Amino acid sequence: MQDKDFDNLLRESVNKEPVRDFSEVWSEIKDQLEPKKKEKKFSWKKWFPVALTSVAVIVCIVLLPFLIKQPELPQEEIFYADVLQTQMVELSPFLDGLSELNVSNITTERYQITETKLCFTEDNKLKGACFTIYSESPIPIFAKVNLYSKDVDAGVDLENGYDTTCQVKSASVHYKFKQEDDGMYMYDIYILNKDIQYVMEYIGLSEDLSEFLDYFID
Amino acid sequence: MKKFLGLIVAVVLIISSTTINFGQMAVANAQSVDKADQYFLDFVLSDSTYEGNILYSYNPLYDSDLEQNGREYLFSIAEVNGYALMTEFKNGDAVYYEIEELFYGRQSPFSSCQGKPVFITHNVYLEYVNDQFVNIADGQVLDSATIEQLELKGFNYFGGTQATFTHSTETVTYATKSTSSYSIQYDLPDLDGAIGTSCANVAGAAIITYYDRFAINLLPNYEPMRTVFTTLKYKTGTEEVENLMLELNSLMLIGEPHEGTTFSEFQLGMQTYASQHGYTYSSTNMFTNDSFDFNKYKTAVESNKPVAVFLTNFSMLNNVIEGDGEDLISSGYCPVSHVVPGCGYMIDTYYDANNNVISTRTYLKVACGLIGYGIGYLNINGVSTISKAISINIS
Repeated sequence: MQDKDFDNLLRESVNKEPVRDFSEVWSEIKDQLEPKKKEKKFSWKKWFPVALTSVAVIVCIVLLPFLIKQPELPQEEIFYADVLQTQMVELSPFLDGLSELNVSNITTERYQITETKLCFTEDNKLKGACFTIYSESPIPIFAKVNLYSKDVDAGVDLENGYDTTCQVKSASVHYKFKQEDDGMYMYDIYILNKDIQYVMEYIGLSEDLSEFLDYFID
Repeated sequence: MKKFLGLIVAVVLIISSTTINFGQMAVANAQSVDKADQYFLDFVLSDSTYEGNILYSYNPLYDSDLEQNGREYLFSIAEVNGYALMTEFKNGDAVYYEIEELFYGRQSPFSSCQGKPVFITHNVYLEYVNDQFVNIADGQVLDSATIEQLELKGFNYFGGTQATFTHSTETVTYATKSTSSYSIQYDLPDLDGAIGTSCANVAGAAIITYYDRFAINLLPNYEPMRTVFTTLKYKTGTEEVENLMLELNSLMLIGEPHEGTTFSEFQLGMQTYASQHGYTYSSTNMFTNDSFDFNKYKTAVESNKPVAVFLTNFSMLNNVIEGDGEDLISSGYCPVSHVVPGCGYMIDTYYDANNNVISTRTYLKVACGLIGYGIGYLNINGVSTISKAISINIS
């Protein structure tokens, strides 16, 4: 018998079978049926990676800050200018002090230097100098100068009216105009140059500071 | 002549429970009014605008060794009750008195004291009871280390440093603004302290250097100013000025060496220095009815008399940034006591659109004695506590 003939014979026999109504069948079997309960079985295989990951994350959170912590750098000590001890000195030791501070732009060739003081910490470390400079040429200038090394809080609030900022050579310059009186111009000037801070009360004969700054800053 | 000399001042001493009424006597019997009483009465007369009899009694005040160190005066004048706390300092046989505080219409902070009243520094009121030092304000028992610290602070003026300043900003809005200002010509010398000196020595040196302009050889053989172009500037960092500060430090010392300077020591040092150089030192109280009197200050500086201002805390003006209809006023506050010589003032008056005054801010121009402030403005608008102020004359 060919397969095709067999198929036809089967189809015919099936078609001859009477089909029962579904509701009749359902009423017969419905009481025998139970909903199949889905059982969850704990599986170590499934949960082990999750647990492992969680533990790893917690360990990382706890330990990471310790692992990535840098060795503590020694904090730079800040000295306040107004608690430095000032000591009046003659011109020669004063100039030696300036050399020790690596200040090379304040010289007797450039200015008449008076009222010379050096500023020390309590343990006698040189941190600055206070003095006045006066010159009639090439640029007429009088200034009361306090200079400090970089690690001194000079007590200058640059927000306090220092409204002009400029760069002159390697120096950062901030200044504010105070007043003009009888052809004299008075400024407060703050200069940071080569790790030295200059706090100056300046009196000059020119409103324009650029010539002075160019001369003063080395 | 004081205005009160026209008035008959009667002093009633209440000693224990006994009242001795001197009726209409000008001043009480000298045997009854001792030096301390006299100092107290003079102080009230220099301060008060009240007129009438002064009735007073006093109780002793004590130091931490429970030795008497002053008096609590309870008084009334013109039916107004008040109190004063006076301290005394001994130096050999000499005794110096100092009124640390005086208030009208207020009860003494020692009024509720059950034990011995102990007064060892400004604004701290203690009682010794049950073998303990107790802060009357909050009932807290103070340990011996705290008492030692307070005693060290004493009634001295120290001077602040940059480290002790905190900065804050205040905003004032307005329609229009006007500013008036005045300063003694050339201001005052902008001095910094020499090693081993305090703010009172620096303030005193600034005032003496100023008067050296007019009083020949007050600073011997010294010319306090130099010509700079067409103006004059004070010399500040000279050996003479440095030595003056050190000398004043020595003269402004009563008793054992200690940090800072009291008001009495300042007065004594200045007076001694002036008399040693052939001049007379005098001072005038700038307080009226227990408060700093700006009008007295204004009159003094406009008469070219510097004013020594004694502060238990203070605020220096950083700057005033003018915006569109508003001023940002930045100040640095220092909780430490200080002495500054004043030489001028600045008053900002703020108006609304109808030209009504809505606010004023008054600043005293002072030689601050601190690097960073130099000749600057003391902000006295509720952020500085002036405990004393005296205009000074040396002639």
